[in-house]
This record gives sequence, C-alpha cells and structure tokens, in this order.
Amino acid sequence: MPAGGRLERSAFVRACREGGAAIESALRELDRSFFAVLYRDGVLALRDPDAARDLVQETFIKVWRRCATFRGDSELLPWVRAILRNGAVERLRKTVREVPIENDDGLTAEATQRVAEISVAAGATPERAVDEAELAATFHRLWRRFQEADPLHANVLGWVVNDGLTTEDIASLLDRTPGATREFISQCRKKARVHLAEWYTLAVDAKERS
Amino acid sequence: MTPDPNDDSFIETLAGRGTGTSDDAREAALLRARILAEPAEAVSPPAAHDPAREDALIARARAAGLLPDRRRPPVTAQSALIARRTGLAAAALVVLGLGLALTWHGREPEEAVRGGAAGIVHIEAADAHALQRELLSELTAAGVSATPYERLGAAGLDADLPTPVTAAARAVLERHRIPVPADGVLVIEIREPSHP
Repeated sequence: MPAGGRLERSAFVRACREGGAAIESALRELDRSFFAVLYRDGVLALRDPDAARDLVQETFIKVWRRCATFRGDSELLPWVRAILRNGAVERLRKTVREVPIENDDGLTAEATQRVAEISVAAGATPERAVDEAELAATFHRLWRRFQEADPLHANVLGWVVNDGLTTEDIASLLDRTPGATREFISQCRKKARVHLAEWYTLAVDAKERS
Repeated sequence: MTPDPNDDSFIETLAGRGTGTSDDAREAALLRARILAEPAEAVSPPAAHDPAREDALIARARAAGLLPDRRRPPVTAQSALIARRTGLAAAALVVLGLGLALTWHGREPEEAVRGGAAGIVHIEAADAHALQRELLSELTAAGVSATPYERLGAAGLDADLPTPVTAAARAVLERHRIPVPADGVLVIEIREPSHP
C-alpha cells in the first residue's frame, strides 16, 4: 500500500491468496484505508455510532472470509461497501417492524389517514405560494423522519439515488428473489409517498405554478 | 401485495438512468433531485489511524478463527517437525478416507465423493477458506473459471470443467484427491471439522 493511500486491490488479492500472516497486515490496511468512509456510511444507515463501529469491524471480518470472491478487476471499496450495506440491512431487518402497506391505492387505511393528516396539517392548498427554500426545508424534515421511522426503505432509496443501484443490485443486497425485490421496491415507493406526502403536495403545486 | 409494473420506470429514473415522461418517472425525478440536494449530514470523523481500533479488529479476527491464536506456544524447530509429521499423518488419513469413500461410493449413494450429476465433493479442512482460496487459485492457474461461494457455513467452489478435462485441471483435482466429475460440473464444499 502506498504511504497515506488506500489498500490496493492487487495487494488485497495477493494477501487473500497468501493467507496466514498476510491477513493481519491486510486487515490493518483495510482499517486504515476504509474505516472512516465506512463508519460514516454505517452511522447514516444505522443512526447509532456504536452500532456503526461494530458493523464496520464485522464487515472487515466478512471481507476477509469472502476475499476469494472479490473480482480483481473491480474496485475494492464498492465491493466492501456492498458487504457493509448487506450487514446494515440485516441489522435493520432485526430492528424494524415491517408494516404491510396494501389496499387499492397501495396504502393501508392507517397510512391513507396519515397522508390526509399530513396534508391538512401543512395547509397545502393551490393558493399557497411555495418557494424553493420551503420545499427544501420541508423535504429535509420529512426525509429525516422517514430515515428514522423506516431506515431500511429510506436507506435503499438513498443508495439507489447516490450509487445508481439496479433492481438486480437491490436483490443482491437484500438477498431476495427478483419477485420479492420488486415487492420491496414497491413498498419503498409507497412508504416514501406516506412519509413525504406533505412535500409531494407542495412540490406538485410548485411545479404547476412554474 | 402486487408490485406495480411502473416501479421499474420509477427505480430507473431514481437511479439517474431513466428519461421517461410518465408520472412514475416524474415522481422519481423529483425525488432524486431532492435527495441529491440534501445537505451532507455531519458525522464526527473517526481517526484514520487508530492502533487500539486495529488491535480490536485483529482480536476479533483471531476470535473468528481468521488468524492463529497467539496463546498457542511458539513454533520451535521440534514442534514444527511434530506438526509436519502430524500434518503428513493427517494427509495420509484424508487420502485413506477419500479412498474409502470412493470405494463406498459404488455400493451406497453418498454425497461425500461425487460421481453423479447432482453430487457435491465434501472436504473437511482446518481452514476452509484457506483451502477454498488455494483451490480457486490453482484452478484459475489451470485455466478453469471457478466461482467461490458461501453456503450454510461451508466455503464452496463451483466450476464447469473444460471438456475434455485438461491435464492441468486434472492435476489440480488429483493433487487434492478430488475425483473428476463425469459431467464436468465440479461442486466442492469445504467445512472445518466440528470440535466436540
């Protein structure tokens, strides 16, 4: 590894093949190279610094167990990050109660009621002028609430936006069948509609006015 | 719940790949723009180099069996010799065991040594992942494209051998006492011995 740089994939592959003492050295290099960036990902996904620290270390152990599956022609960080996210998903599944969302509109009666409440509370009417700052602030508030209430679904949507995950990537991340993944995506979308209902209303109003 | 077929358009646009004009695409585009515009959340950055953290990681790797236990006595020339002899004895036992398994295979269908299309070669090794890496490396060097995998605690390898099986690939299999599969489909699962 170059001084101050990141663990190079060739060094990683070599250590993986050699095993033994090379593993300890490579584990230390992994920590120095990627802990900071993965810790940030972990905190944002789990909202808990201690859990994030544990997740990153757990990820490094998994990375080593699976090192033989790393394709040497791809970048190391995205591969490691996918393992971290997989671990984050596992943890979130344990803590998050999955609530079914289903009716003709794709929402439970409870969720439909919630959308109505949010919209009324916001007083979003066609007459209301909405500026960009208000839209941004509203989204920021609702998005944070979505992340806290449904971290699994919010995280996956965020990862799709930021890293361009495909449906296949999501299936791999969740370790689900294509059918179950499509169902999960559908739930993500519906949950976003529920949590961001107030912003959706404002955004549509703003778009119609422009 | 039935997934909405329009979710594909939604996800593609959300990922920045779609250019559709449907309601789904517009909804995704709005959401994408707003998520990208979200201010970066502040997370206290950890130290890039933290020896205590690294030591904790190494201890964890040791506990997970990735690294040898430091509590073991240091290796001396004598103990190395004993270990080598023990290793040779263990290897002889493995060869004997595989030979027996091959013999038994004709009498009783067993998974331990494959011969049929649906068989899996089961191998027991003190460090399953090390052997998995070794086999992967050797098969790759022999021109065989093998895919490593993990299943139910076993380190596995899956490969389609060339037809006819090349001498190099055959040599790798023979070196590890792995029978050449008749159908060319090689599936190996390696487990570590369970301790009483």
